[in-house]
Amino acid sequence: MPMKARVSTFGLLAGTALAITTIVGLFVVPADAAQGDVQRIMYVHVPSAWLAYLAFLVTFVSSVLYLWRRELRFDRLAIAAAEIGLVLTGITIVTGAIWGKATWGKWWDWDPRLTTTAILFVVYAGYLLVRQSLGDRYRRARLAAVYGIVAFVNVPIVHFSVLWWRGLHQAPTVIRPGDPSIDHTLLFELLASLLSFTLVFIWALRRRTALEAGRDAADLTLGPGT
Amino acid sequence: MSLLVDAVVLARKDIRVELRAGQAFGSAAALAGIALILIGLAVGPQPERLRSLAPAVVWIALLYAALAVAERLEQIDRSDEAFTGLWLVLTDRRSLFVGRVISLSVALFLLQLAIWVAATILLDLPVRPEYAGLVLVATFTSLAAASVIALVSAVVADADRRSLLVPVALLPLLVPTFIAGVQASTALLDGRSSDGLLWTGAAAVEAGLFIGVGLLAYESAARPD
Repeated sequence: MPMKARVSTFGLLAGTALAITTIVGLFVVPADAAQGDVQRIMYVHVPSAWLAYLAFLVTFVSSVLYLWRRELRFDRLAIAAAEIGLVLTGITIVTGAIWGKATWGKWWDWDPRLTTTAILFVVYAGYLLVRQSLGDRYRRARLAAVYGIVAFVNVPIVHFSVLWWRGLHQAPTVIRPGDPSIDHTLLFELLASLLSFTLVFIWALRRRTALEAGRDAADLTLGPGT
Repeated sequence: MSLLVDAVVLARKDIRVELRAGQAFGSAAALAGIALILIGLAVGPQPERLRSLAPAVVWIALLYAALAVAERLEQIDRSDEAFTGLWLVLTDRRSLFVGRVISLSVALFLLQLAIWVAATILLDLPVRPEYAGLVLVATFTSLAAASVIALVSAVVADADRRSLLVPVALLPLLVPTFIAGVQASTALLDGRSSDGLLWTGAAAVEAGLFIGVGLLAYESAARPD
């Protein structure tokens, strides 16, 4: 039976929110006084980075829950979040490089934050590779959960690297002691972008988890690899 | 108590096998030596530059050597169903993890010291009293690295394309230890003892964290099917 492409109400809401914040970010909010139009890329870069952290946190928590409860739904959540986190980390690196070229004059610098973000990307690429290399479904879930827990240790190191070492990357401008060092209009748009990205993240997480559940159901009825 | 007693017995078994066969340490030391020479060749005859790069050079050599040690120790355990036998005999299986961490730590500690001696000679590093701090750095970084290696080796033990997967899965996870090791030894070589102590403390925290994770997760990672 052919599958119908169905867009849920939540998906529609998330897509609309993303479209609105994109239009507002590009055409309504004024350009940054110091950086000009290139600063607008931050409305993608910052939410992607934050949600990548959230995605890896979801993978970590789901991995712990899987080892505790041995229910496949937690493993499905872990893989879904890891894949989305990897895509978001990729977006963070690419948008950061574009911003870096315009601001620092180069695509890449061996700054601690950039380097550790790249390492984070490799760590979770490794997580997906480990999963692919393990055959049996339950064994794969168990071993991936262990790897997912160890991998998460890298996430706080990435975040705090900016505070520990001096580099080109700027210090936190929103989450820091005292007032955020960003204009309130720009901050509002940044938070609106974060909200719309979060909605898209939740929608993608649900879709990807459902896809994995469908795969598990197919394996159960038709045999593995179908 | 039984955990530690069993772990020490298992670690002694690993060390005794290594002393008799000498394969893991020998090949790891050779690999580290090759890495050291290759990096020296790549940089060229620039003593100042080589000296400033020394901590990174030593740590890159150590990481590759660590892969060789991990691979060899895992092979010994997994051959002839030896690991399954150990799994069935032991009451507290966390001792398998602790034992492996002890034997790997000893190997990595000795390797690290050997690489530092070789680097001091080859890269013409000035010998300073602060060098004594490197022993402390080697202790904690070896413990941290050994915990990660023991855990990840168990995860990928029976995976397809294992030889390719081990470095891909392991090296990124060793980055925190790599950073702490490089920063601590750079500070000590520059005569900044307080910074060196701070980064050694970071390595100690990492060691505690990874050992804790290992104690909780190793049984899930290593259980034979």
